Amino acid sequence: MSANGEHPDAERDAWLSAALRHAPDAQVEPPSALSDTILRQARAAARGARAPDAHRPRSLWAAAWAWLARPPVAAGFASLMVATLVGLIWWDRPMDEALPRPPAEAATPATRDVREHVVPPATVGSDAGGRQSPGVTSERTPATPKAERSHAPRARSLSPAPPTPAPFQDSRATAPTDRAAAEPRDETTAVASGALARPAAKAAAPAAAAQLRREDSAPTRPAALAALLDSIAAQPERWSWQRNAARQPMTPALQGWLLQLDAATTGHWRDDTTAPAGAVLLQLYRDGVPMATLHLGDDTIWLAPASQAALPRAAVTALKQALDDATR
Amino acid sequence: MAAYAGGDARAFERLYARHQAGLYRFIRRLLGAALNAQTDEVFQDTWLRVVQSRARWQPQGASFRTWLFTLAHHRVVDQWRRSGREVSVDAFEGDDGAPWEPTGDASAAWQHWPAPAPAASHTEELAFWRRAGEKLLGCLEQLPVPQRSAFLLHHDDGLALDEVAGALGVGFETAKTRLRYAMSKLRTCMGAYLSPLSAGGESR
Repeated sequence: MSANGEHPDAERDAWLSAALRHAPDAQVEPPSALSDTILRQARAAARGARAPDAHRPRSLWAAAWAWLARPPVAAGFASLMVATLVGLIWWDRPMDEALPRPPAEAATPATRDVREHVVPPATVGSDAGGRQSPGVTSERTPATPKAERSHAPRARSLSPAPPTPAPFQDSRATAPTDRAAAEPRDETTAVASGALARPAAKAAAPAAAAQLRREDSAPTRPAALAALLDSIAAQPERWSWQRNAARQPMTPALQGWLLQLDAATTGHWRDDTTAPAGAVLLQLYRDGVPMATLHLGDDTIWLAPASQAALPRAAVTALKQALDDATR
Repeated sequence: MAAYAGGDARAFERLYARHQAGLYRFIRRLLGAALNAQTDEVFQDTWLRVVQSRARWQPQGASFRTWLFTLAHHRVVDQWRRSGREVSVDAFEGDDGAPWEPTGDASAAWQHWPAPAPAASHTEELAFWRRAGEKLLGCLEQLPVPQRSAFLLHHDDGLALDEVAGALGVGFETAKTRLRYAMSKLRTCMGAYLSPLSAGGESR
């Protein structure tokens, strides 16, 4: 209500308003520097407001980038990238290739069913690598760890357990598998010194069978020879041999000699289709069917059709002598 | 404001030129002598709030001026609270009854003041009003902030009563009551210290 009752705005006091207009701060204004600062910030904000409109297409990328930067999405994307990288590294490789495993063991599965697939050497050729036995059909499948693992217990069930293992075999039986690669060189030396030619081996047929099983995993032996030894150890009664005279049944002595042969030649085999001239011949038969032919030359041993082991002359001579003893 | 929200910087410059003086004065008077040094900070903060809120600003019936003074009022209240002073939301705190009303007593000092005019024509009148203005600022210091803001918005910045209510975020009647209490106190304060012009125009 106005003081004088004439003011049209009942709540507006004209005297107080006049006093306000004449107050000392009536004309005060913000400092120019402050105004400049505010205006500068306002202009910058206005430019920022126009910028998104000018670059609207980029906002999609910005939105995608922001979405990708979210922790759950980033973690999932990183996991996918790692999985892809691992998959590319292990592409087309066996899962446990990194494990220490002899290279020749890849051919081990070929020996699995050697008794069922042994055929005369004249009817079967070797594969391109020449590492397959002349008497084994080429039904090999790519070596897989699972197949190899399942093969070991199966071989144990097929082979008879040795009643009285020889000391030499016992010591080897406790050796780890990794030692297999180091054994051939030692055994070759043993053959050269005549240690393996002792007559005790003639009576060690059961022990030879166990030895054959262990040697089956040796890395540098032709798969055909391994299959041959495995089959003879498993069913020696079905096997026979022939040199110059008539065919005779397999004997423990000859099985022992085959063990010596295997031990002496392990690690020396290579592909060669040339049979040595003037060699001592030994043919092995299974159920009357010729399965393998061994040629003992002066310094080579040749397993038909394409495997040859080069040995010191003394070692071959010792093997010939041992063969004579075993087939006498 | 809509033009500025669309990126027109010159629109903001026009807004600033139009409202900067009144807003600065409002903030300065509302803060009072105790917080006078904070005027620049509150003033800048208010305008920055305008800049930051440009995209969200909607007229919704209120003018930009009303909205601007609302922002400033909130900033001042925040400043008062940060300074440790208690800001009562009760506009009538400290009042001991009904607001003072001018009586018909012709002997009241303020009744003999010169008639208010946009510009004092005489030097003597001008001196009187300057003293009155100076005294009024002192009297404003004694008002609670809600009453002070209601009086300043209404008498100095020219907002209508409903706009004052909107700016302060209160109902119309509340704003009206605050204003009446403020005017009552100010009249009392001013009448006690100013002699009527007819009595010599000297401060007592």
